[in-house]
Amino acid sequence: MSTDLDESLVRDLAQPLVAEFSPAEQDELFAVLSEAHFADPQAYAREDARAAPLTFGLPEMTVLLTPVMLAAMDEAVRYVVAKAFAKGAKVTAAAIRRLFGRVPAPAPAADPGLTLTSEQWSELRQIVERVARNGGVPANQAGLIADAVVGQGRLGRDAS
Amino acid sequence: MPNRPGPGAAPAASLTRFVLLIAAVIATSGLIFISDYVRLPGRADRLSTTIDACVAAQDADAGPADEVSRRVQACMNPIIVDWATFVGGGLVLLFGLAAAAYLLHPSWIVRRRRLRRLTVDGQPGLVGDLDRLRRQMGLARSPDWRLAPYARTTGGQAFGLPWHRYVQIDAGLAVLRVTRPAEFRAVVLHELAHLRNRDVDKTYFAISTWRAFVAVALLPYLVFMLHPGLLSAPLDWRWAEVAFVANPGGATHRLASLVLLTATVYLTRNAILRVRETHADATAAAADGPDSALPTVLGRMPEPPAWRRWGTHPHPRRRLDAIRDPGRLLGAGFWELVGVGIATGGVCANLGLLAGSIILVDSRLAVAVVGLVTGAVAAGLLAAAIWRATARDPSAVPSWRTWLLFPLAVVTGYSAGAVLTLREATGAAITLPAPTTWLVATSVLAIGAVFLAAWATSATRGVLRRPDSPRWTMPAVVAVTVLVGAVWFAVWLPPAQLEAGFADGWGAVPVAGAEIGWYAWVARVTGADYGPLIWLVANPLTLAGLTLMWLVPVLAGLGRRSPVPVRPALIAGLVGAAGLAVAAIALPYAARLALPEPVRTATDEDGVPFATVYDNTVLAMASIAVAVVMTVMAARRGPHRPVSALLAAGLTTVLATAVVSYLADPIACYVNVTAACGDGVPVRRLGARAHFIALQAILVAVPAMLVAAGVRRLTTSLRDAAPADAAPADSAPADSAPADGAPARGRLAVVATAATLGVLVVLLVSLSVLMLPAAYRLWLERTFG
Repeated sequence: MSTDLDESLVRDLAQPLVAEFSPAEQDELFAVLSEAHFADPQAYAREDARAAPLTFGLPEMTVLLTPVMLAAMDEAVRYVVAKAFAKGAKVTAAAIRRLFGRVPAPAPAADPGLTLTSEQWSELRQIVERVARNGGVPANQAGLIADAVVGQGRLGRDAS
Repeated sequence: MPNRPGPGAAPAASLTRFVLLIAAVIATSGLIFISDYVRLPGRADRLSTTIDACVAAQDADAGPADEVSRRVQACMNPIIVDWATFVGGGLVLLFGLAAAAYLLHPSWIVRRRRLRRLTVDGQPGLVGDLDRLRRQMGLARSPDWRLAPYARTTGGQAFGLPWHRYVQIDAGLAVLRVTRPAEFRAVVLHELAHLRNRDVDKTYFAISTWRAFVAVALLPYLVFMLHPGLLSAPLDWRWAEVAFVANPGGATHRLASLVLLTATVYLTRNAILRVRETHADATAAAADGPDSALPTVLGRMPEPPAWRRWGTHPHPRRRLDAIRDPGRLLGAGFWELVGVGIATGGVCANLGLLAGSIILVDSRLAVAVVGLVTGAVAAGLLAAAIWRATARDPSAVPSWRTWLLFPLAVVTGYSAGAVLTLREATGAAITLPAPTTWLVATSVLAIGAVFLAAWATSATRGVLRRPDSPRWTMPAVVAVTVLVGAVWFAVWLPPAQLEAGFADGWGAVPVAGAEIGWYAWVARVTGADYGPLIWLVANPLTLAGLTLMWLVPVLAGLGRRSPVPVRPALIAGLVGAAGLAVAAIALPYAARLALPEPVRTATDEDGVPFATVYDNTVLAMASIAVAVVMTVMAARRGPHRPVSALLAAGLTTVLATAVVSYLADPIACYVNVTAACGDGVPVRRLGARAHFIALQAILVAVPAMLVAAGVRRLTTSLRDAAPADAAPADSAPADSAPADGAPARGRLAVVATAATLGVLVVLLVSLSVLMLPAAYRLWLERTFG
């Protein structure tokens, strides 16, 4: 998969999660935040709270779920691709979309399908939760996000 | 909105602090560069050689003293020009660097924070909301909205140059637009308020100036303290040459001076940033209306530690107070004025000494020039502080903080700054004055500063109380404060540098008549010679300044409500002059009765002749007449007492000069009391007489007026405590300006009053012009020939 394809795929996978967990970031804000995320994929885990002249704001920080979701889905896709390559399976963007329940239509006949075991889903869940926690997401919300990612994948798989 | 337009629109605190910052940076950096000069390769040797050669030439020169001094000046000029070029170059470099940093700050912020442009096409909802808030704030032009996509903070930041403003919206804040719109609005309006209040340029230039100061002045100076030969022999560092080892006492003094001056610069910078935040809060809350979420946001801010009181952001409690009472923004701080004094003292002590010792032939003139410049800046900042403090509630009786504490804060800071030095403790080190000398000099300075502040407070209040005051009036009041303060300080500074600069000299006792106690006392008192006074007498700006002190407030009130009560002052002046005339007529007869003829006719070659005692006595009587008139005016009620007192003093001075010159002298001749008749008074002497009369009167009148004002306040308080329906304590008395439709007689009186004032101004200006030749001789002849 090319980098462009990766970004497009990750964006597609993350966007519904952002819409679900942080509606304020969807649409116009999601576009600019995702663009910034791909320019610096590690920035989501850094705190950018430097004091400067003529700055003013609320004392608390906000959790930005767009870069967190993008980072989590990026890690998730990498995990899936690595597992598929280990099995010698061919990985396509469409297959990954189907795996995470984003393409409800059935796979073409030639597509052998992309599956994860229960253990692998569990491992994937931990990856998503870890990335979310790194991005400053509270523990309970990180768990819910991880459940949503895995649940959608499993649900999508079961549905197909 | 705070700080309404018109004459009541006091200068923002950040403006005066910005001026103070620039002044403090110039002062401190200038002192540092003066010190750094000798670190340049070969400069110390060249300076020392030049001074030795010039002094040797001076010793060998047998010409007239002034010409010798001029030749020494010419001998020193090349090295002084080199020195001044280095200092000037250093300042140009510093401010050039500051300007470059300021000009580059937008692109630096955009790049460092990787800001992304928000556009109507890309983010229509967000930009639409932002533009609505921009219009709500009254900004005609939209800033360049930028998103900080990596910022989880929920804030914003205004920055940019006058032709391209930016407002940064943190990604966290953009989220709040949907989740907590009221708080989003409050934060954005706060940032837009910075644009509306024109904070951006002052703020970022202040920061750039501080950074350039650290890089160009502070750090090199500290490095030179550790390695004095860095530029001449960089690899030849010796422990014994480190300033703290070679001269521990001097190095500690210099370091302490540097710390104090640097603290002044740094804290002034922070004060600018703090006041900008508070001002923006007040503006944003006013724009957002009563439902603004700003108080809620500020209320949630954590309590900062105590040491951050002087940091870049104000305490949340102060910010809330400013929202509830925007008048607080007009308050001026005691410490701000102490900083003004410290910067002034540091410059005067260091530059004054340097200029006086080697730059100009006439050291008094050199020190006075330094005093003129620094005094102007300090007086201007004091006037601005008084303006702000008075603008908060012009109808209220002025607080003692304004007219007493403010000038004393400047004087206190000056006293601290005057002991600072950044130069090596070589031949030109600062020496501390004797305690008595210091006390006398400082007291004289404090009395002058309080007098000036009291006048400025009164004039400011008089202007601000009138809603219809012309726009020029407050700048004119500040300008007069600057003029008078600068002249006064320029005259005060040279004797303040001397051990006995303010020592007074009583007049000599006449040999003939010395046994007559009261006569000897009169001769001593009326012949007292107070050295510094001559520098105000031979000064065309003295009477001119005193004239402006009443003329500006009077002109500001002409044809308006609540004008300065002119006629009582004129009547008081006439009565005072008439009393003097009576006394001047009676004096020769009294002298003939009280003193035997041998005393009156003694020529007294070795002592003081009676004629001199007599002339001095007449002048003293004239001064007392002026002082009494001023005191009577100060004891009246109403807000214009200092102005009225000065107006009355001006008229009485002119009339007293005429009485002394054209009545007292002929009468004395007629009565033959002095056994000598002159050929009349030359016109050129009128100026000197008028100046002596006015200045001696002020010396007596200042304490008398303070006592009179205090008694007036006391009696007013007692009367107010009584149940009687007395007039308000501070209400202006009924006065001259007739209402529309007033009878023709009233209009005639106004015309007569205006004509009298016009003639008075012409006469006072003429008396000032008459002092030009004497002023040249005293101030400039030694230098310019």
